[in-house]
Amino acid sequence: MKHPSHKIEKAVSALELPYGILGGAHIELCSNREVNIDGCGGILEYDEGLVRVNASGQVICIYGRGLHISCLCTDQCTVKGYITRLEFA
Amino acid sequence: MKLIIRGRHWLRGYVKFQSTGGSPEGFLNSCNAKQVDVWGTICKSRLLRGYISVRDYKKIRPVARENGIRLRHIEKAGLPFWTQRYRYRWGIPVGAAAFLGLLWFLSLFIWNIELSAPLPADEQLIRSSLARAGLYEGALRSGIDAQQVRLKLQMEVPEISWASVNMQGSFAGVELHQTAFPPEFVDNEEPCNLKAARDGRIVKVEATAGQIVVKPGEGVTKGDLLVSGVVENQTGTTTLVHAAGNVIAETSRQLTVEVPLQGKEKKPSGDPIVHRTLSFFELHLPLYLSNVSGEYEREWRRDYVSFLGVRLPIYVTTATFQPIREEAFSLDQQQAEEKAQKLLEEKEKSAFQNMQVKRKEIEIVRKNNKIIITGRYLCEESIALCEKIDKIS
Repeated sequence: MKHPSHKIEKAVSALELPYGILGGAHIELCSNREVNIDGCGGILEYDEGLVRVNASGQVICIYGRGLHISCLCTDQCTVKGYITRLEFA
Repeated sequence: MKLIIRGRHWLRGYVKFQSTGGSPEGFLNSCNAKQVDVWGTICKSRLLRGYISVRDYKKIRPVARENGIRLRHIEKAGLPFWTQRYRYRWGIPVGAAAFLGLLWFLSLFIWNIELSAPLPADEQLIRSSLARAGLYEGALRSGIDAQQVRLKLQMEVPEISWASVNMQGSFAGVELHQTAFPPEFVDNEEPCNLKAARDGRIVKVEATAGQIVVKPGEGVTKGDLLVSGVVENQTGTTTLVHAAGNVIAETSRQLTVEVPLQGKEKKPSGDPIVHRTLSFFELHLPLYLSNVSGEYEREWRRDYVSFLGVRLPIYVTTATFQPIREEAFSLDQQQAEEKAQKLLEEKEKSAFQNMQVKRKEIEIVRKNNKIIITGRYLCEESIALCEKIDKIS
């Protein structure tokens, strides 16, 4: 028997809805200067070269130079700076 | 949007803080959990800097302690701090209140009266008529009855057939419409004769109504009957008609011009003296110290101050006084004759507008230290003049 989450994923795929609409994080990247994470669960690490964000069960690692969190709201955060790499762990 | 958010932060007041030690991430997460808005954060070597509103800054003290952070504010900005800084400067609110009071006071008066173009009559005449009706620059707004002003203006200036006075705050717009006067009524039924307006010799007689009593070549004097309005019928009875027609006659005219060979004339002397006056409504402030004495010619100009295309009741009157003095002059015969000829030509232009000059004779005489130039003209002109027949005798 298949896991129910697989069925949901299948349904979302069939309806051509964006992934993460049912609880996942929505990430928006503006060039390599700004990243908006909708569904942010907290900041795990914060430094000029690396920002690690907890987002719906996965960790998003933003590497770069001069990184800073310009806005941190209830479930949203904006990281600005010179982004060199984006990693999901 | 960014600007609105910045404006909101400024109005609420904000603090730039710096935290050392502990966990900056934990501190940010705790702030987020407590719904404390922290913005513009920078974390460099575990040193966190950011901005927070004044109200929230007090709230996050325990949060900072929980995360082992030492919090310190490094800058304060916004309206609450600004007002705090100037709280003993009474001049600012007093000045603001005085400004608003003055603005309110000045708004009670009429600042500008705009007349719609084209003007049916002389602007000065219309403005003085409006002033008599109570509408003038500087008049109290509450004392103006637009309907009364409109009626008085229409009554005083016959060239205005319709007027409307529109009050818009301190500005009054006056819409004007010109009267279309009916043409002069000519009663063609009224019996009349055509008589000679001046002496002359008849050249041509044309009558559309009435009985011709003169022939070409005949001489007439002023007042002679030319075309009679009393017409005799074949039956022997008479009918009174409105005589009409054109009677052209040769007339003689004379023009004389005198030019003295020696005399005195007024000439400008020295530099002009300029007096400026600054006026605000009916208050006139002279901007000069010197007085003017002796004989002078005066010219004046008024320059209004405009703001965004609107004429304000503030103006500078510039009066220029040109001193003049009498100077003796002398002309020789030729110069005087040339001057006399010019003057005579100017006189001819205005005198012979509706007639044809057939012959011209010029006589130049020197008499009593003067050059007298006399022009004798033989002209052809219409001499018919309508004269009403009053009673049948």
